[in-house]
Amino acid sequence: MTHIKTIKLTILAISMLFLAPSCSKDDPTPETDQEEVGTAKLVFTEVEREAHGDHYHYNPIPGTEPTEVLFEGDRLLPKEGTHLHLHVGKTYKLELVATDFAGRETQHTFVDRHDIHQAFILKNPTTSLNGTLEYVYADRDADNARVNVGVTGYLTVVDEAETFVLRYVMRHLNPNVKNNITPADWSSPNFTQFTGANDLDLKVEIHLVHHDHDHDDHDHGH
Amino acid sequence: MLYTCLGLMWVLAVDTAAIPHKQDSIHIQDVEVIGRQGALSHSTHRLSARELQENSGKSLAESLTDISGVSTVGMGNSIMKPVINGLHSNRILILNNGIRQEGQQWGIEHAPEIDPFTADRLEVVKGAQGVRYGADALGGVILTSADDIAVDRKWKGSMNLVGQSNGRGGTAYARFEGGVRSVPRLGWRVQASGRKLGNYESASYILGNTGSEEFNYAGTLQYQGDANQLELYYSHFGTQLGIFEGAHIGTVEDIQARIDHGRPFEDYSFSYEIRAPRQQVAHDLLKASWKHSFQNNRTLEMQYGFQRNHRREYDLRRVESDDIPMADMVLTTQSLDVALKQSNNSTIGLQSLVQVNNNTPGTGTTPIIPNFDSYTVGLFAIHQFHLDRWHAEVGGRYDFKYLDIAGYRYRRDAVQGDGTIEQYLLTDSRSFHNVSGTAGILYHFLPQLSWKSNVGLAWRAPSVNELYSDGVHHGSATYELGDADLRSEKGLKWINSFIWNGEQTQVTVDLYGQLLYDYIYAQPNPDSVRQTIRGTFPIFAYQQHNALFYGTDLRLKQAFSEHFHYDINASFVHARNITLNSYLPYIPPARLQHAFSWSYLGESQPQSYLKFAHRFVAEQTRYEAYSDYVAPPEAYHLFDLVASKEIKTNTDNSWYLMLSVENLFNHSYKDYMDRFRYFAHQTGRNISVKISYQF
Repeated sequence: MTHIKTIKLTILAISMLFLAPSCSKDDPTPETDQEEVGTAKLVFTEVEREAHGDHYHYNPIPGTEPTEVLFEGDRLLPKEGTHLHLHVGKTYKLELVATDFAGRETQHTFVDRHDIHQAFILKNPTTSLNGTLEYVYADRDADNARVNVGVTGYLTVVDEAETFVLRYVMRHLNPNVKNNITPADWSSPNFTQFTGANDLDLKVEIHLVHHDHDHDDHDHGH
Repeated sequence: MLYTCLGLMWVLAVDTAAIPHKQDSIHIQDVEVIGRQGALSHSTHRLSARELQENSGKSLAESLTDISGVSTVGMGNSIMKPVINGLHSNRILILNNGIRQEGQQWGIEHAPEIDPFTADRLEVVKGAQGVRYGADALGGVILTSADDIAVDRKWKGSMNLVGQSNGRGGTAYARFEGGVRSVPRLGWRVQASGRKLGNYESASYILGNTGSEEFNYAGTLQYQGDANQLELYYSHFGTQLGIFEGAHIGTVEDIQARIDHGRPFEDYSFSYEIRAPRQQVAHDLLKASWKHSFQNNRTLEMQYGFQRNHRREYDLRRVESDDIPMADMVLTTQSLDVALKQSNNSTIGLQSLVQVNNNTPGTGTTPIIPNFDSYTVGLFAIHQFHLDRWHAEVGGRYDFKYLDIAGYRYRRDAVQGDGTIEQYLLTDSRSFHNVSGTAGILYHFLPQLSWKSNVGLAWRAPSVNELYSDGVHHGSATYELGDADLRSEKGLKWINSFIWNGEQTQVTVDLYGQLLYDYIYAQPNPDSVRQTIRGTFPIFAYQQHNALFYGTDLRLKQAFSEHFHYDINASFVHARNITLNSYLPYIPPARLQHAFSWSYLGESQPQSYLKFAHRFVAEQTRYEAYSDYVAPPEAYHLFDLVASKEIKTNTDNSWYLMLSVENLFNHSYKDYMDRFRYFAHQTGRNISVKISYQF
């Protein structure tokens, strides 16, 4: 009986010891999802392309109004009915403006980590636009050195095309993968072979037209 | 207060009288072999000394595949989880040195944080073991345990070195133990292991960022008195492992491109570097146990366990540095088990568990599982009856679990006018309770032939991720969607084992069927994706239906002579969703492994042998078409070779040398249970050299 009493007391003591520590979860802290992009905007601004030997210079045209397409919401879609007209023979400065979850501009983070980011521009889903469009990467890093990212670039319309969905993919690449990518891959239909994930996958309806063509029934650029 | 009250209730309820029984010679043998209540009628399998030696340096899950009915599920070669009769993760229990292992075991990419070197015995108990071990033991229990310390010796020890070609690395392990002279019957043990491996290779290419590092250590103090046995045990498991870079994807388009290509797009070079995506996990375990033997064959066992699991998962980040984790979770678990045993006939006990999970702030990403508290308490009783050649056991158990969660979530179905999504604090609490039961028999037709039959009812509450996950699981690049209304999962398993234990032939055949009510599973659906502002991810949504598992496991050992032996392990399991009349995903296909071995020095040195083994894994044909991104891979055959030599220098000292070649013909293959099969092949040839010195 003495043993049983001892055991009972021991169990009671351990049970209370077990209860003693304050075992409770912490109050959760809301995280600002830094990995996510809140909104994105593609800005098309017509520029003058000037040939300089084996390359071009791109000069601003005073008084030119940019055309902006805003992508927002859970699926980063443009406003319904958005339809852009780009003109054959003209060159457009194409800029990406992205905001993070807090509304702060975040597109510089792609350039800051240019070793793992590169944009690809395609006809949705994976048709190359080589021959229809020309694209030149025009990003510069903090040391003003040229890098190929696609936050800034120049898009020249070479040939007319019926309305199609333009796809702008900002690819988040695995380490060292970018070493195998050249500027000529800007519209590679096999861009998924460059291993990584898509940080942005923007789609907008576009129409490549001659200068005298226009619609009246669409929200469109010039 | 709940624990105190239950403790009091238990104390008042204890009044188990000694029940005399007739112990014939066969029964004594059972007790020696099984040695554990609650497993009399269950199929119990233990790795032999030879199998332990052959598997040294491997992960726990890999080591256990030598037991029929046990396979693996995981991601590549570095993350593997054990599967018992088709069930894994939260449906099997792992008892690490007597303590219920509690990590973040819900994730398929979360391997058990256990160093197999700390175990002298690796056992698998098949069957629904809910009564003895508590909730979650639906498929079976894995027991890792150590021998008692040799307190009568001043000291002894062992040292092991394993080198392997695939991964170009190895493992080192050392263990020392002995008695304390100033305190008779008090023993000590210290042990440590380290592992370093680089990128592993498939048959024809290297998989980038698949290296791993491990450093583990443990210490034990053990007092082996006549009436009191005390043990204090502490272990630390620490690992860092890379996740194959080619599997870092975010869209169905990416997955499909890789599937079409059949292998990674990039050519990787060998490296020991581990970079994002990677995992870093630390698991600390402290155990204090006391066993008191009374004079009337009654024993009281008390065991306290403390575990801290710290898991950090790193991904390729866009904004922050890659060395800031995307997931940083700390799970703290305390357990208290009390059991009163009467001879080997009756056990009555109480088990309790308190868990706290906290996400460490500052990851810059909303945690996939919320912070939570969980309280579990269970009361159980098991009684055995022995009548001549009949042995029977019955048991019952009641469990109660309370779960309280808090975490931030997004209202993704209510996008605001400016395109933003509201973040809100989700709080919830759930209570679960359930009754479990077991009933089984053991009958000896002959001294060599026995039949075990057990019906077990076990359960588990839905895990936190199954209830509340809503977000991108960066570890697996999936969007996981929980369901807060999920019910408890209940499993009724009937397992029959026929055992022939002859001089030259030993055979075990397990036949089982298991009805799982409200079986919870995540169904991958290639047509269902969640487009987030982070990308487009395949949705794995948790569902709940009734399921039926059935199958058989075969184990045969045949000694043709003192020198020649033949072993065979075979298993198949079929599983169906009987609510939808469809197949369930990720069920292991049929498998067979068999081996001829030649013990060239006979029984005088059983560890000196040559072995040639063949492994066959069938194609999984029982799957729902179009329910996955790709059909299961085709069947494969692998061949292995082992040469082992034992050198005894004196009674206490011996050397073991082993050379083994796995996947001898460097066959290129994919495995259905490997989540990386979308992206890459399994490991190619691996040549290992193992040296062990015991003194």
